[in-house]
Amino acid sequence: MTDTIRPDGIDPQAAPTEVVTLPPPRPAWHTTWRRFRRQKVAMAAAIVIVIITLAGIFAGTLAPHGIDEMTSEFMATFSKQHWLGTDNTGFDLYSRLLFGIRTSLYASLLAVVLALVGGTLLGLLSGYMGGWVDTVLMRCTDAIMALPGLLMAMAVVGVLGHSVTHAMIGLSVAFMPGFARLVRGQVLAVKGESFVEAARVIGASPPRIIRKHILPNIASPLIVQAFVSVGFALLAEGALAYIGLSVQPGEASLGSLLQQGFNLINQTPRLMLVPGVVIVLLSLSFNAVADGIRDALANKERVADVGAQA
Amino acid sequence: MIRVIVKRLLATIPLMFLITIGTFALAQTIQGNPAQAIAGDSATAEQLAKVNKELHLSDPAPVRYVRWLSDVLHGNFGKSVATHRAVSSEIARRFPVTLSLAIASLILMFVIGIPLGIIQGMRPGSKLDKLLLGGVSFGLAAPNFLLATVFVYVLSVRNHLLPSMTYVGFTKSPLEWAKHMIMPAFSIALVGGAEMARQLRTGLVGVAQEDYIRAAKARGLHPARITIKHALKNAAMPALTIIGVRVGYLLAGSVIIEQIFQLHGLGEYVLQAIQNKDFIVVQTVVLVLAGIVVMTSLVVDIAYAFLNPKVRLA
Repeated sequence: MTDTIRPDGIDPQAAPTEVVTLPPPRPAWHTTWRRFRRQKVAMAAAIVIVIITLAGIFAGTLAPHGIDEMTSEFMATFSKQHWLGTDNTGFDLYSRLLFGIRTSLYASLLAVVLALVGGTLLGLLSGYMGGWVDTVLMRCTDAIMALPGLLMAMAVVGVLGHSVTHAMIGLSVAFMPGFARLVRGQVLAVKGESFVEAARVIGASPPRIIRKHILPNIASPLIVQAFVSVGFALLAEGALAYIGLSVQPGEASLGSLLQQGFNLINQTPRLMLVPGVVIVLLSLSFNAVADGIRDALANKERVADVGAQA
Repeated sequence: MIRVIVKRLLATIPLMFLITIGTFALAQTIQGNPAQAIAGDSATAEQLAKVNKELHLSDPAPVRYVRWLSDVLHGNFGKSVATHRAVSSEIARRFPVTLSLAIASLILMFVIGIPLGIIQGMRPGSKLDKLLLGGVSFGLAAPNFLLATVFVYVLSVRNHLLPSMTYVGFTKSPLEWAKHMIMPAFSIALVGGAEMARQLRTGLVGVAQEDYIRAAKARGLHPARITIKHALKNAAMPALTIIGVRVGYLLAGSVIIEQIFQLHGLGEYVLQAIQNKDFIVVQTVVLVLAGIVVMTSLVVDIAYAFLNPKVRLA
């Protein structure tokens, strides 16, 4: 044995031992994913979402007929040529369903992304600045929450013209307060933590503190809220399309397909049943995935009631 | 307690003020060219100018806002641009329809939500609980307009069990009113009921860990008695607070549901107004709807403060 110990603690004369390398620390999302994977319902829902989303993305390739391609068969029932049958104008329901899924998913994601970005900015501002900025912003979110969200979407459609994008811009305003309040609450909770204080003491700028220390810590409840909101947005788009305020004739969304199906309900419930099942399944899946993520995050985060007044 | 109420009341004033700005801005955005809408497409330039002058449409927006606000505060809601009828009389005519739809939905929401929540919360993790959880998830995901149409199809068109597409006033015949209301109200109430069941279940599960519940169990009280007498009091609080939020959802839902059941309520009115670019109607009706939401959450908050000694005695 030597009597000098090297600063790294390794005895140079000792027999070479096996090098033990510790696995690199697992990132937090890894644990979350492992816990999420164990939940059967949430996993099934996630798979449903992936399949339906892929079907929507590749609608152009998968659909046997065009979105406004009239076939020679009217009100045909399930068959080899028309998997889900045709409607009274000869449109192939399966093809229209694929395009409808694409439109509905695009619309809900648009509304939620806009609300997420806007709400996060407002919430950060409110929570980080505090004082009168906080007061003013929070009173504004109160006011927006008192206005029915669908009405806001309708009004935006009223001025900008009938289109999915316009309807969803209006809807995102209704979603924004929910995100803003969630972020604000989280910021207030994190702001007092010692690691944020430490960052401030060593001279980190507010944008850096927000980016490096606050955002990563509030991301998980935001993701949960985003999933819940997509479910709501799907239904809201459906409702708007149902009363004719979202997609244009010639386009299709799940809501507009439902509405056309309803008009023909006396002849066959099929045209309403098919898009109806898809919209419920999708919305159910988004909620289930949100629940799954919430549980995987060890029940720590409480997600506020969404501002989706659909 | 009084301090709590006064504080809450005072907070409502700036909120309502902000809402008037919001509704005014909202209505401005849909305005398009109101003079054209009023005078008709074939109107001459002079006619347009006359309408503009009558309604002070050429004034800057802040001036018009202040004028509108003072009109509203004086109870003068103006006339519809499209139909030339007084907005207040139209609202008075349609309000009972929307109100009774909202009340019926609220009642159904309790009828659905409370028993489900209690049954689930009493034995969380049981087979029945899991089954009902599935039902609750479905209730949260099912769109109200889809439910409404399925009801109409199954119960009205196919089987003629319930009437649809008409409205009978409560004062005329309560039974007929209930028959006409149950389908639209149920369509709106299901989401709220499901949410309430979920809140109540979570609340009951949380409370079950408390010492006083264990003490009650140890004394050998019947589980049903423990739940109803001891646990529910504390578990019901969060479920209560969602009513305020829910009223907003109910009113928004009524826009769609009134359309499907052809009920002539405020929702139908505002939808027509948006399509007609009838900005006076839009700003007034939206203001009324928002006012109802604010008042409800005020009442709920005060009730909450009253029921919760922590707040009441603070």
